[in-house]
Amino acid sequence: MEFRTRVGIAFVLIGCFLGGMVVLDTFGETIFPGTAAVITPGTLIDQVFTKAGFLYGPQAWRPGYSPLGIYPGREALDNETWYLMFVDLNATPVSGDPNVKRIGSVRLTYNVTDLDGRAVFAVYGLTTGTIPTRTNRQTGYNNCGYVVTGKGTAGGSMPAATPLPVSGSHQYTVAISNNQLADSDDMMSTSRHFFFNQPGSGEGALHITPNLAKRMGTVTETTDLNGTFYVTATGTDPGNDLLLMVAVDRPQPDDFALRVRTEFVRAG
Amino acid sequence: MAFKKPYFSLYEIALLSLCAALIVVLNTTFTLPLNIPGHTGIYWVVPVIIGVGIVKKPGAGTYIGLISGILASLFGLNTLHILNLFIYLALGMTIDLSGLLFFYRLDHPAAGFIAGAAGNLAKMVVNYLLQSFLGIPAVFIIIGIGTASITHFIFGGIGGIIAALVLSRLHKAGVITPDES
Repeated sequence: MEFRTRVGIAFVLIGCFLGGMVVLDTFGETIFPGTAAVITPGTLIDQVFTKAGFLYGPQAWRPGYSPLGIYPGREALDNETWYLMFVDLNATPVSGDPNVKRIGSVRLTYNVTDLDGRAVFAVYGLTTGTIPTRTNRQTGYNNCGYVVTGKGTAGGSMPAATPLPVSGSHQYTVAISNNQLADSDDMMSTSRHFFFNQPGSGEGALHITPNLAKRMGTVTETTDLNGTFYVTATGTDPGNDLLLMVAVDRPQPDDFALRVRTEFVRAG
Repeated sequence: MAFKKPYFSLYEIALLSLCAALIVVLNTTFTLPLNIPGHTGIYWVVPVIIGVGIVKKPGAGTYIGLISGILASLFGLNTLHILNLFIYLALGMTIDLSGLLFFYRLDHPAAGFIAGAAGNLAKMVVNYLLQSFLGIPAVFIIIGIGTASITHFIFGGIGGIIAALVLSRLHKAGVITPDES
């Protein structure tokens, strides 16, 4: 067989393979149906946060290799003044217990009281070694996030908040606002460390979705002050601890309260 | 006493081992900020194709894959640790087969493209099979597998063309000759 013929046949074979993969991608969930997701008994955290939990801000960005915007799909805008709170969810999408790997997702239930303006939820997966911190993609293909809008009474100030300085080393240490932590020495610390090693690193490894059928995440905007969403992961290492970032776009009233509950949902 | 002639000469073994080491070096020193599945194939496949294109013997790619897999496992380049060996072997074996298929004319850009793309796709498939073997449900693995396949194909192909151009220049410059190779 001639060289050209062989080249042509090889291209056809690889084309067939690629076509098969695209078909598998499109119909895969029908071909390989998972059994129903199973919620693991037990709540991982169940805590109420007040406006005193917002320890950072006003600022227009959230941690990333380069400062990331906060509202899903947008870059950081200088004229925005967000206030940030970090909450350790005491879970990861691979397990309720970070030391035991089971593929699944983290179900987060929130109840907000007297929210004024917008609240944005984002997530960070803390890793070890040289693996950069994971987070949901901020902009571009497969970006995701969750936004709740409320019409509460106007707030005056956020006395606990101070802006987080931009880091030239692409590393950040943030204080967490919760007091229910896993019974592990390194988890008892009230600070968590983010590390990013190149532009875009870690982005897109975690996803936020209100529907497990869309595991790659979506941007959700809602006015429902009580709701549920899931944190899912793709890739080999979603991290060994999951942090929730809650950002509000203006000072909140004194009656502001946010209840966060997390559960681990095993994949079928 | 007659000695059996070794399959690979000392020169070939040295060259293939250097190519294997180069894969590990490229993997540790190059961090392209692309965040696209399979983008590392643009430099992974180059030393393998060059090694196979110069030695022109069945098993050359497999040898490079084996050595680079052992090195990658020892240096802990991936979360799969010792199972990395299978990924590197799959890449080497596929490029070996491509060499056979194209009469070792891997200095031709079309042949280089196919060898690189096929090698990078084989790497992806074995990676997914290992993930599946380790207990990750199929439904998780197939999310985005279509896009990942296409990007592996493109980046592996580009790497293959680069390798073909390097081989072609080496031939033209007389660094490697048809007899030697």
